[in-house]
Amino acid sequence: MNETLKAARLDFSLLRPYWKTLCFVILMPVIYTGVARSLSAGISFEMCMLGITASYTFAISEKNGMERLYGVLPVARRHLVYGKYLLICATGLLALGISLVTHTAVLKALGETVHAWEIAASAVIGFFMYTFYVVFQLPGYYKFGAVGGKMFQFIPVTGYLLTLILLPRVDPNSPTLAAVLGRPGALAGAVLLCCAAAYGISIGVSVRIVKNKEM
Amino acid sequence: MDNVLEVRELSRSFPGFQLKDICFTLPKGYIMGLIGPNGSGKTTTIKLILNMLKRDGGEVKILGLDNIAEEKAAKAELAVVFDSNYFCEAWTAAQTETAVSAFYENWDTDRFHRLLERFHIDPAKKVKDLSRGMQMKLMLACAFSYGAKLLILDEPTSGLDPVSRDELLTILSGYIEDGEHSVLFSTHITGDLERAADYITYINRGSLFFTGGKDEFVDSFRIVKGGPEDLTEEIKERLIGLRMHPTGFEALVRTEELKKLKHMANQGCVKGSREAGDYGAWGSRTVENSDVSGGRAAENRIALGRETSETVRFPAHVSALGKPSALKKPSPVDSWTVEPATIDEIVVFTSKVSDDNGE
Repeated sequence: MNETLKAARLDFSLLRPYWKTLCFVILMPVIYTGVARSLSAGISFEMCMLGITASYTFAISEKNGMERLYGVLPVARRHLVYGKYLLICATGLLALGISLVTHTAVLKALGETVHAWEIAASAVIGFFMYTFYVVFQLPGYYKFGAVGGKMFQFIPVTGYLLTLILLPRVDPNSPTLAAVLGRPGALAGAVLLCCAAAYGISIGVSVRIVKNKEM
Repeated sequence: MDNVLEVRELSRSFPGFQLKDICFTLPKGYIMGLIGPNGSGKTTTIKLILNMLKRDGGEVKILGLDNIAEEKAAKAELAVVFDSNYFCEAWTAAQTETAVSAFYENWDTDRFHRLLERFHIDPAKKVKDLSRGMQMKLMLACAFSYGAKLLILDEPTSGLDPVSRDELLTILSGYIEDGEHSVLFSTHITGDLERAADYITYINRGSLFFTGGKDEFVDSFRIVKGGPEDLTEEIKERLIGLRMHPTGFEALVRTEELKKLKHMANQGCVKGSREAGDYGAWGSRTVENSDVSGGRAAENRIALGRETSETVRFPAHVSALGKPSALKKPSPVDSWTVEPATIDEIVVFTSKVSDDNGE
């Protein structure tokens, strides 16, 4: 098995005892979607909630003194970092997939119409927001630990609130916005490229921190 | 490969503490005790071996593999047990295997479950519900399940009850039985080493004090006890960790130094009385320093370094004061007693020297 996958599996086994909490985090925003009657609003909230859980593996390993286990395992430190990012990214995608289905179902049950483009847009927006919530958090946890870097947990909430504040200020009749939205494929591609770059930079910073860190 | 672990001139500085030039080798098939008082640098040494801390200088080879350049290969051959559990407390023993086993190509699941059975660990029991002794055994079960050639234990017995400590020592003895496995065992409970260790590496205040065979280590020192008036400044200088009591003193002395002390004693005797002779100056077990033959026997035992638990007595006043009158009326209180030292005593007395120097 690839070392990154082994590391991701190790981190997954840390989360396994907390699956009930994760299920709650994934399913609870459905209520918000029902109240707001908007898929993108619900998914955005969902990603914010999930972004907060990015600290879980750090907190669990810190609580159990597991840096000593990481220190004795025959695996390069950078692979431990890759594994964590892989798991967190995969968790985000899985949660996004589940949410798109459940939230759409809830909206339809409430008599709302949900278009395919709305689902696609919510997926891209959700992934974009989740990416930016985690890429700024993880290097902070690597540097300061889950307790020392607790302030990084506020990044998703801050990001979500900023979105709520700034979004209404965008002029819906703006020609720039119209031009951007007029090419949805290119927009989605650019967003995903941006996400990939953000992950790349964040991983690079985290690897650097971990390599210099003493256990 | 005769040595499973080679540490050469290992150094690391921290604010207020320096580990300097630590050198030792652990041959295949043996147990080495890494000893020293709290804060002496034992855990730092282990973390440097594991590349969990960055070294300032030196070299570490694990089974001939560099611990940094060939870290992955080296770590695949070693197992580590710390003083407390390092698995997720929410895992069961079985889940622990699932999480850890993927990292080891030689992992043997059947062996792991046999070990759990042998150690009376319920695979369905959560790590947090295991006692401290059981948690340590779980770490050992993992260590033994992939055939680690070198087992490093960092203070494994601290916090364990005597029964669990005894069990651990039995397990370790069994582990090295085939001559292919070795153990580096850091502890400040030196009583464990009297039973288990073949080699000793003693670190004090970040410096290597001794490394070598356990018997050699123990034979290198003697405990000397004497009356309050027996000491001269010259003798004091040769004693290690001198402790003064109202009734006398006790100190550690290097076995090789005993000869010099004897020489000093002889000098005092020659000044005082030629009749007592060289042997009389050194004394005897009968306390009567006129017993020349007894004196020679004692001298030979000391010179050859074969002293047993027998007490060797010699009057201190002859070495220290050299008064002829004192030779005629030796007081039992004023006689010196030379006894073999335990590892614990050696550590305690030599640490006292460091404390005194540090003041």
